Amino acid sequence: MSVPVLEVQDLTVEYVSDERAVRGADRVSFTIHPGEIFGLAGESGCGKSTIANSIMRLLKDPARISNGKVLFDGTDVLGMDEAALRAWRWNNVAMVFQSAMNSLNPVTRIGEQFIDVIRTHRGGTRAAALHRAHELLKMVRIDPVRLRAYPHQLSGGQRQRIVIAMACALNPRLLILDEPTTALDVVVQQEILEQIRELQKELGFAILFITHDMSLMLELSDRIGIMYGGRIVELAPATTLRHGSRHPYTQALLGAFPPLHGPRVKLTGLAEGTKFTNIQDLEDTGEGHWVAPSDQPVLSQGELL
Amino acid sequence: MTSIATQRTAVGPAVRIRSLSKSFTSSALFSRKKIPALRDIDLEMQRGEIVALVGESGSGKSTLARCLALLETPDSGEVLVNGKDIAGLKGAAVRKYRSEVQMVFQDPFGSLNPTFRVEHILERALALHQPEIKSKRSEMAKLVSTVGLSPDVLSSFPHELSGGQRQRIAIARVLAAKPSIILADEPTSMLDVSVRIGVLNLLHKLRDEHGITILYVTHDLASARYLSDRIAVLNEGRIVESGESVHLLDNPSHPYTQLLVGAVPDPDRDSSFDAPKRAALREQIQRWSTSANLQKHIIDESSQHWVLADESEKNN
Repeated sequence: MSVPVLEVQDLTVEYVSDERAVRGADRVSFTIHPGEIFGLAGESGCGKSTIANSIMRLLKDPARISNGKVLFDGTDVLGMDEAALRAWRWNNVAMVFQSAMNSLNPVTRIGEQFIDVIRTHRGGTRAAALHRAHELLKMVRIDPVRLRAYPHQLSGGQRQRIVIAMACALNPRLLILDEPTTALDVVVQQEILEQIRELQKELGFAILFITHDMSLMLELSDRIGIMYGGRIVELAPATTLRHGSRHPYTQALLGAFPPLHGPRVKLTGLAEGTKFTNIQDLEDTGEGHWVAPSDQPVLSQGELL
Repeated sequence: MTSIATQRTAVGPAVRIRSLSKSFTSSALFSRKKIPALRDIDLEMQRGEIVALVGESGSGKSTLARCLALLETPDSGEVLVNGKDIAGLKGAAVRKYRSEVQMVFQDPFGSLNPTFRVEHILERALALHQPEIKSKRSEMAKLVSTVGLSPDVLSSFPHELSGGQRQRIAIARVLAAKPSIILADEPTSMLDVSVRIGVLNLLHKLRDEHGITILYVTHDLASARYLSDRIAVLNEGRIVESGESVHLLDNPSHPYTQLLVGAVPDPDRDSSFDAPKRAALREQIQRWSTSANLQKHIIDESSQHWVLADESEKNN
C-alpha cells in the first residue's frame, strides 16, 4: 500500500471549561491515501468539523488537543511552529469551509483575492498569479472575465466554485471539504460535486469530505467513517457500507434517506431520544471494514407503506 | 394509502385554487420592476390528501403556502378552502380560518417562544382555538402523546429539547387548533437527518388518523415521494407538472422535473452527470418557460399525471 497522505492517530480533542471538559473528538484514527476520497459522516455535534479543524490546526480556545497525532506525509502537524504551519497550509492542505461562498471578501475583486492567496503562499509576480487565476477559473467553467467581478455580482453556486478553485490554486495534496454544498439547491450541488471530481482527476489530490448527507457521501466517497458522539463507530469502503453496514447508528443514518426508486417502504430512522453511550474501539471485521461493537438491537428494515 | 383520499372526494375538495397569481415589486432606486412569484396556479387538494410542492429556491413554493395561510394577498385568482372563498375574510372569520388552516414552519428553534415552558405554549393555543375545553392538562398530555413525546416534556423549556422534539411540539401546537389543513413548509430541513423520517412519519400518521389534508413544501424529491400522494412541480412560479408521486418521479416529462430528478444524489448511478444533456435540458426549460403556446397534456389518466408542455415540441 502507498504511504498515506494523512494519518490521524488516536486524536482526542476536548473543549475545556472551568467545571468540566467535553470531548469533541475521542480517540479518532483514520488514514487517507493519495488520490483517495475519504468521507466523514455524522450529525451536528458529532465532531466531524472538530476533526477537520484540528487537522488544519485551526482550533481555538477552549478547544485543546489532549492526545493523539496528525501526520501529513509522515510529518507531525501538531508539532509545527507558526512559520512551518504557514508554509504548510494551502500549499499542502487546503480547506473549503461550510458556507464558504460567504468567506470571500465583499469589497475586493475576485482576481485580487486569487492574487493575494497565490503570492502570499508562493510568491511570484502579479502577472503570473493572475495567469494562474485564469487557468483555475476555466477549470471550474467560469468565464475568466469574472475575475473583475465583486463577490456579490456572482451567484451562490459560482462563488462556491470560486472558493473551491482558490483552494486548488497551489495544487494541494489534500483538500478538506466541510459541507461544501449544504446551502445550495440540488441541481447546483450536483454540478459542484462534478466539478470537484473533475478537479480531482486533473490535479490528483486526496479529499477529506465532510457531510451529514449519506446519499451524497455514498455517491462521492471511496471510504467512509461514520461519527457519533466524537467517536468513529464504523469505517468501511463506500460499497461495503451501503449494503453491509453493521452498526445500528450507521443503519439509522442510511435509513433516514428515502429512496427515489422502487417500492415505497416505511422507514423508521432513529427513535427520538435514542443514545449510544460508551462506544467501544473499532474491531476489524475484514476487508477494510471496521465496526465498533454495539449491543443495541439492529434496526428493523421497514414494511411496505 | 390513497383509499382515504378517494373516500373523501365526495364532499368536495379541501382546497381549490383557481388561476392564482402573485407578484412582488422590486424597488431599485429608479426602477420598479414586477417580479412574478406565482403565475396562474391551479391546484386542488382532496380531503385527507398529502400534496407535495417541489421546486428549487425561488420557484414560488413558499409563496403559495403563504397565500393559503393568509400571510400574502394574491394579485388575482380565487382560493376556496372547504368550499369558501378566502379573499376578504375579516375579524372573527380570519381567526376561525386560522384554526382551520395551520402552518408548520421550517425552523423549530425560532417558532417556539424560548421564555415559556412547553405547557404554556400549548395552553395558549388551546385557550385561543378551543376555549370550550375544561381539562386543559389532560388535553395537553393527549397532544404530546399524539406527536410521540412523553408528558414530561410539558414542563421543559424549548431550549431543553432537541430539534426533532421541538418540531414535534410545534406540530402539537398546530394540532391544538384542530386544523383540517396543515401547511408544512420544509418542516424537516433544519432537523438532524436521523430524526427527519420520524417527523415525516408523524405527518403521515396525522393524515391517516385525523384525516388532515397536508400541503408539504420541500426541495427534497425523495422525501416528497416518501410522504405525499401527489406531487406538483413548481418552476418560476408555474406548476409545470403534477401527478401521483411515484408515477411522476418514475416518468418525469417536463425538462425541469427531469433536471431535478437527475440531480438527486443516487449511489446506484454510475455516471451521475452528463454535461451536454444537462445543457440541452436547461435550454429546453428556457424555451418552454418563455413559450406562448403552453398546454396541459395528460400523460396518464389514472394517476392524474399531466405536464405543462410546449404544443409544438411535445411530440419530439
